[in-house]
Amino acid sequence: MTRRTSRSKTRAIRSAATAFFAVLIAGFGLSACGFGSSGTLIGTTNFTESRILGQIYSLALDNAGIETTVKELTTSEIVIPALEKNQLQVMPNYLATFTEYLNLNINGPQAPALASSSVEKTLAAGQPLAQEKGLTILTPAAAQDQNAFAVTPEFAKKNNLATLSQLGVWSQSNPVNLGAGPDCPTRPFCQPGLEETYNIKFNSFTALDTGGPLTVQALLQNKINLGLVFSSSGFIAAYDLVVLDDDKNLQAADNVIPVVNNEASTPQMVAALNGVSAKLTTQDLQELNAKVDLQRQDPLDVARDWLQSEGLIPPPNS
Amino acid sequence: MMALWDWFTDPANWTGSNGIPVRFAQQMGITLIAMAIAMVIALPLGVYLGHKGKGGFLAINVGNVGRAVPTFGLLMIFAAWAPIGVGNLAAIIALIIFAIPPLLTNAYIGVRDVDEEVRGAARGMGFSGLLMLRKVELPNAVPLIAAGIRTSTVQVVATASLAALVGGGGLGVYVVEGFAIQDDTLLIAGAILTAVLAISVDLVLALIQRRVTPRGLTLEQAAIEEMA
Repeated sequence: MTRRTSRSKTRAIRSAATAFFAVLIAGFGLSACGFGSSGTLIGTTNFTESRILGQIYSLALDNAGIETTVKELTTSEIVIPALEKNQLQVMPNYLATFTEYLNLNINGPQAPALASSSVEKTLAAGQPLAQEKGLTILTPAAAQDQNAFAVTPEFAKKNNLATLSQLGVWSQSNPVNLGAGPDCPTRPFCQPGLEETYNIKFNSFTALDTGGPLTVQALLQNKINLGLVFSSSGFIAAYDLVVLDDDKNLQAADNVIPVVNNEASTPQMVAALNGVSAKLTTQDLQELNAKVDLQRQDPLDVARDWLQSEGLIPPPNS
Repeated sequence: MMALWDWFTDPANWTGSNGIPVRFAQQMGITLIAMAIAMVIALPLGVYLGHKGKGGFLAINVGNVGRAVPTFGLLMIFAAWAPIGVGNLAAIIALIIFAIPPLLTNAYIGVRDVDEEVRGAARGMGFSGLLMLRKVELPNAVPLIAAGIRTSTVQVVATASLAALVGGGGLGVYVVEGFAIQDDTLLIAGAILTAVLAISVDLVLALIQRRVTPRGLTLEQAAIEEMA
């Protein structure tokens, strides 16, 4: 699943959204003048992590002397084409998801998957496709946002579980109750993947939300004992959930990547964005997401605090 | 269309824990439990208030405000609240609240609006209190109470599909799953099953409503129609 699912989950409404935005963009005459703002435009999608990443890129670029504006659009399907046309210049995305988007877009819907759990191989496969569209994938961050399977800390401790392999062994005599989005039983990175790669035996599947609050609640209520969350989710830190290690690399390398349009790219821009990637970890993303999703802080403030604490922009009052 | 036909005629969809009979039974189970509890709460209260001729403000406004409460919102709150949690129970409780307004309002109005002349005649014959309620007010209120039950049940049986959104069962599972994996056949099949069930329930209840209406009222109605 990862972003792939949450994205494909919305495919039904996506075409409607695409049409709606096409009309909107045309109506405002923005396509001609780059969404109607000056400077470098950063396009984000409409979920918390993307918003935070957009603000982080924006502040980092401002610090490098590049004037920026952040534009929040809906899905990657809207943002990527705008980036290709240089209506937007920078976008945060995810390595495996972006590679597969380009793969299907360029090589057709039946193209075999190029993304894997290896960052290097996925980048090597994705970069030529990006160049074909006039885009460059900059350095992937260590931070990943991918499918993660979580248990409660009590459950992990009681049964001495730290990896999905261990859960596979344990489940032979104690079939697992899995909770995830309703598409999980058909997604290769979800239930079928857990069965094939880890030989996990399931007792029941409960259809909930995809990595959202309902899944977390079901875990805490012990209605399920294994729940799908996203590895960068703020819920993990907030509820001390234990993410079982994907020790056989079922999940693809969905590392955070800056994507830039080649025409707009400058050495200063590349250096500033790569500087962010060099510091950003999955743990950072969890904390940043938690601050926005659970503590209701402003993504801009959260982004500024993080950049300052990492020394990427000057500290306050200096 | 062919895909739908294939889906409905595929034996695999008629067996197992995700088969139509099981999902159908879950939908009916959720509905029956929710309706039974809602009726136990709402009908005696509505009848009592109507009999006393008091609390009309309460009955009518609980009814009106209740209709404005978003069932989906309640469902999510109950699912997130640990003592209830995700699953069918959250759906049942949300549906009880959803079912009460038409039951309460109709029971209240049904009893209160019994013709004053009829009441007077009964009083002249020495009827009062419980006897008045049992022999005069309730029989006269039956058509409205039955209509309330029918409205409420049809709403609840259709809305019970929401249970699938919080990890429960029922026919909504097909719709939610179909939407998630972009399987339009599954989605539409779930919607059709829910609609067919709701219409069937309405028809059955319409028959029952006619059967339980006291003969006197039917005759009276016929007489009025003849005069008109």
